[in-house]
Amino acid sequence: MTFPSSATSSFEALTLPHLKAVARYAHSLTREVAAAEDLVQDTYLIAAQSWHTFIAGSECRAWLFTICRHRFLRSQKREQRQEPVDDATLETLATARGHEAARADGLSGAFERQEVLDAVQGAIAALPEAYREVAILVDLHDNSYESAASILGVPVGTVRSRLFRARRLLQEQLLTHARDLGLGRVSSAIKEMSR
Amino acid sequence: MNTGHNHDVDCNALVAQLWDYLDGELSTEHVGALEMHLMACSQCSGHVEFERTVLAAIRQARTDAIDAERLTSRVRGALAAAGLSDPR
Repeated sequence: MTFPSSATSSFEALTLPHLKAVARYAHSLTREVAAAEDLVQDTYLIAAQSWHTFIAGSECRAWLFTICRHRFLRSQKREQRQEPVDDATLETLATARGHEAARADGLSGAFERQEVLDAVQGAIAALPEAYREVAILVDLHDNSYESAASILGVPVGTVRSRLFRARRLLQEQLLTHARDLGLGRVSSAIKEMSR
Repeated sequence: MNTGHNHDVDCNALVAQLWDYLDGELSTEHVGALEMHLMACSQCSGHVEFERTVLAAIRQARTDAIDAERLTSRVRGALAAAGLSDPR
């Protein structure tokens, strides 16, 4: 097979420095090392074949993430579902109310407790996919809202609303976990009373 | 929620922009206005500090389980086998 682009000399030089980031992203998607490595190899083969479509000067990392995500979705035989777009502002206000409840329960410091930190990966994995993939891109892989929107092929407003919903869900789930572990004031008081 | 402060940003506006602020997605002008409010409002600064710990907790879940050096060699090999390597 011949290399499809006239700008062949720079494919590996421009794309391989991003391999570690692509591998971490692939691992976030597949949650399995062997599957992630296969996905990365697949991503780079497709990227090399499509190199002529890469626009010089655009964000190479985001381009690779986009290919990686498409390959993952294809491998899962899942079509991207159109989730209803939520209101980002309402999500943020709901998150703040969650903080009020946490404070009332003596859980303001919950997110610094190791027991809660240990549950974060599981909580991310349990998110509905539309929210999980935005949280992965922004919170675990440092993409800006704009870059995440480009990778997912959705408007920036959709990234914001899904991201804020993801964080609200994570906060709620982890605070519930903290309450279940008896880390809050209310639980402690109940334990004290039952002695 | 405290709405008695006489600032350009009130508590509701701050909470609505809380994540954009923590993600560094706001303009310098917006950040300045929010931080003016935060200096005067302990309730909102409490919200921001709490959500900052939530973000830090989420972000510590990053993993580096893959040996990138070994995988780079594997990808180079696959590209070469497919005739897609950079010309030498």
